[in-house]
Amino acid sequence: MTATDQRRSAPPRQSRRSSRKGGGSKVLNAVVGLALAGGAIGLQTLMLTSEQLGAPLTYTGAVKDEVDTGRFSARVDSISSARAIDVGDKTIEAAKDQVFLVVQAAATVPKEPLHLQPAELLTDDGKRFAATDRIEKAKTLSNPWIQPGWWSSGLFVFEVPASTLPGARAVFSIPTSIFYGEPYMPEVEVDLGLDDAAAQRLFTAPKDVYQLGDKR
Amino acid sequence: MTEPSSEDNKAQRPILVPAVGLVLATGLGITALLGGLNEAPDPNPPALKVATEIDQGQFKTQFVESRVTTVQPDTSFGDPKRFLEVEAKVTNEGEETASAGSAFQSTLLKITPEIKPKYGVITIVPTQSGPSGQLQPGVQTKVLVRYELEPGVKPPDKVTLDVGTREYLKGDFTPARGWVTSSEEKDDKQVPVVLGQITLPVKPEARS
Amino acid sequence: MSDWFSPSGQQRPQRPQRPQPQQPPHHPQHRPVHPDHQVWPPVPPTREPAGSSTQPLPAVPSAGPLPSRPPQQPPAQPPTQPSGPWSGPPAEPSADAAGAQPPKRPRLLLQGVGAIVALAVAVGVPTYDRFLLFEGGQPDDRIHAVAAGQDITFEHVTWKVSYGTMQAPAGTKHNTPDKQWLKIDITRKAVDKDGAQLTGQPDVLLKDRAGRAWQLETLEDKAPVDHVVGESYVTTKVAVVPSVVAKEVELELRPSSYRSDTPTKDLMKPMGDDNLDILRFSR
Repeated sequence: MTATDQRRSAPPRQSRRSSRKGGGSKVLNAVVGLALAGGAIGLQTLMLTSEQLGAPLTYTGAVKDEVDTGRFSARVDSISSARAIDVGDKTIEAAKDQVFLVVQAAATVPKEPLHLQPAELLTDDGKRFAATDRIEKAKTLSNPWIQPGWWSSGLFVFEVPASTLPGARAVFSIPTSIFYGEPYMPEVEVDLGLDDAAAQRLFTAPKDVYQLGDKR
Repeated sequence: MTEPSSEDNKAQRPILVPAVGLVLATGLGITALLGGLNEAPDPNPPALKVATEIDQGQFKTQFVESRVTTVQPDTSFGDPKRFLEVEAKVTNEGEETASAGSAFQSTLLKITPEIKPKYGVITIVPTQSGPSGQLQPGVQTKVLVRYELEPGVKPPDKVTLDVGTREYLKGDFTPARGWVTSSEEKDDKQVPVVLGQITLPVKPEARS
Repeated sequence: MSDWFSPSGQQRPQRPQRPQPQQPPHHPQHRPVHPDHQVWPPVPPTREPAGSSTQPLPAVPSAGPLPSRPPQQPPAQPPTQPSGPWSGPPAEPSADAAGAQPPKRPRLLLQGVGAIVALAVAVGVPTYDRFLLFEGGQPDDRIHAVAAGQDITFEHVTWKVSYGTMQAPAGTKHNTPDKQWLKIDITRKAVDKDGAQLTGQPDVLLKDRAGRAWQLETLEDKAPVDHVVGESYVTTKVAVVPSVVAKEVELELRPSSYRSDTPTKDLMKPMGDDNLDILRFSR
């Protein structure tokens, strides 16, 4: 910009004048250069870390939304809480100061059949609770093949303390190949829509026993 | 202007340079002989206290006690098994669920006197409905580490555990990251860092 | 850093050229005259105050003289370097001769294009790299189409597939009319000794014309552990597919390269990518 202006004004002038102009533009150029360099350095701080580059592509939604990642779609139908879960042959009780959060969900795929990984509960403060291993994987939505043409429904159970519930999100993901790390794995993150009051209700007034055994 | 001074220099150099060199070399030699400037490894890692919180990086751990216990088999097949059991209260300080059986167990580096169970050490989170293997983030969890005792073997009166620590590693150029058991190089070998040793009296099995 | 300054520097050399015709008169006054200083990384010009070589640029229009002034070449070159394939360098001198206005456009254009190219490369290279990684994990399959009802002999084993339907078994959730249960018999026969060693379970999938795929579960497998040459063994598999594609789905079978005579110690060795062949059995 400045250079152009100078050029226009330059021709009629004497060399001396233009030289002075040149000195001024030198300062200007230095300022512009410094600004650009500063900008470039500033941009570096925005660069993604390797961790962020390796992170999954997250598709978000709310309860009852069908969240489509291209590789699979997932939906949370409902959530409930329980003190204990009846799995048919036994009743599993939540640990002291904890509750079972039951996430009823469904999933489908456009093309390739796959299994969902056990879901995770992502808390407001960034902690990730894996679905409890006290409920067999075979009784969760990780068990069936998720196939094209229809939605498969099932549930995931989290055993969590009260503090995790407000603002919690359920995260569904699919396994990557064992043989090579696949970049840009998709995941679905569903905001369970739990404000403090709803979270409080879930924790203080859980169902006594959630019947899981009957479902089979 | 500088001629005289330069001559002075010439006169001094033959003495000064070797002298300084000699002092340096001697100093270096002595330092090297004494084992270098590195802190000499403490042959006895610090003793850790029972029921005191130990910071293991990924975990905050309190060792509770050690005892001999007999576990009935899940099914009607098989014999009851006798274990030397170490109980600890573990809080997962990481952001994600960790495995008691791999992540936490890997920090118990050595048990003295040595017990080498045939089927390996078993680490569980006991629950009302059976064993779990999960250490959920921020939740203090009771953990049992079991060393199977051969039939007829008399359990020791006390055991000493070498306790290690976990650190979070992330690659600069790869997305690989996660908690690993800290190790250091010693004699060209990677050996786990010993945070300290804890000695627990072994409670004999309650006769019932 | 120097890059940022150089473009502006490039413009300055042109100014001295305007007085080009008057060059000789200029020379005597040259040392004090600043235009020369401005030429670029400004050091060389001041070093050569004497003689005719103070002004680097007049030499440019006629490409010939350039070599005769080696010291001044470096200052003259930087503008040409970035322009590379562009007609920039020739345009500049001619523009200088004509007047000051025209050169700014190619330069701006050049810078703009350079910025776009740099951005494209910065974004494109990592993306392409990751795409290659992804591709590398998914080598292309070789598909062998098998006519309806026919068998195919592939690497010592003859395969045949027959399609059938079945009622939804009791207790399944997949019992609505929009879903169809299929029962598929896969017959294998070893044609020689090698074939009898190839006892591994093939990978199977049902695919419709759109490329959607469904899993099969094994209902019954009559194949013994040791296969006999010439014997046919039937494996019965079942699957659920949407009723609308029940008549078009085709079985894709990927024979396993596992050999039952593989020494145990070699079992964990990677098999390589010899498993790229797919037999597709038409309906």
